[in-house]
Amino acid sequence: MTTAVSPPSREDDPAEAIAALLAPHLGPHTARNAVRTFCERTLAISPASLAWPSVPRLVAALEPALRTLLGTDAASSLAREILAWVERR
Amino acid sequence: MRYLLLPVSVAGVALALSVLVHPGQGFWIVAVPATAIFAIAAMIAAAFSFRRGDFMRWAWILSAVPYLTASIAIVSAAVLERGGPSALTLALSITGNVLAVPGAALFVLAYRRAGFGFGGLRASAVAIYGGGLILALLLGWPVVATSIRGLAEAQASLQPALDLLSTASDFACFLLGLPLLRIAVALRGGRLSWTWALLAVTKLSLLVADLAFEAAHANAAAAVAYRVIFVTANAAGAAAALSHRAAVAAVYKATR
Repeated sequence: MTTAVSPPSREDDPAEAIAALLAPHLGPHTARNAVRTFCERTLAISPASLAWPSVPRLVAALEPALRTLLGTDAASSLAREILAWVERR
Repeated sequence: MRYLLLPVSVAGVALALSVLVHPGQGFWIVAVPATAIFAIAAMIAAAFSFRRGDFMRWAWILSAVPYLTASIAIVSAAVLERGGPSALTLALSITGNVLAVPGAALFVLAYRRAGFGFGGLRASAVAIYGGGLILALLLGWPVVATSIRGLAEAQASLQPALDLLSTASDFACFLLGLPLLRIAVALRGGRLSWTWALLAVTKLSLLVADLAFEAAHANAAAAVAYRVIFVTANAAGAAAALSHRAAVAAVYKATR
């Protein structure tokens, strides 16, 4: 069974990790694109420069965008789960 | 992939019945609204997997309205009317045609509103828009020309104006099917891609259905194709809604 938040393969790279967590829903292409777009727009950095402490801000910025496609409850559930995964790693 | 099974099965059954049994007009008067009612139920179910303030709830509710008005109009025209459409049928047809366009547009807007972008999918964009516009001209022009000719020859009848409105709406929906397909390509590999892909199928099929309808008077195969496309498009609409509901449910299931 696929899960909403499956462990990403590249845990050392925050941008890649967040993209991998979004990929089951948005597909790998849009997931990577979403991370890149919101890194640049919200944090004014490239995805390669994303550090783990900035991930909660990125997730907070992504949540309203996810809400449009997945609805309020599913988007906040997914955002919470991503943050929980980041905490656990 | 399993969501593709629904429209493919409906198309297969409709085609097999058409070829083997040659069902009469009565069968289609039941089959077309039946598949539309199934689509309405699926869209309402999808709408209620979102909260009241969620963008997608209204997109699905608005998308269900044309199916409802079209079903009532078909049944009303078949059962109640003799000698031309009634005011009720005309009003329902106009409402359905007008609302079909914003219904499709909301799904394009949703992706734009999310702001994920398309990032470097230029080749597929050129193929989709280029191919789509060529197809729109090839498929749309004969239908538009017939509607305009009908309007020019009209004598105190609303039907040709209604036909032109229907064609214009189908043309607009076809054009909206192109960005829907582009979004589906961008989302490929994700659960949400099926929703946009199947919606694109419903919108892109409308002009083909119109073309088949134009040819249906003189060609029996076109008459079959028109009805098969119609019920398949309804089933694709239902599958799109069910796939979206399932994509939302999958998030809850795994994060619970």
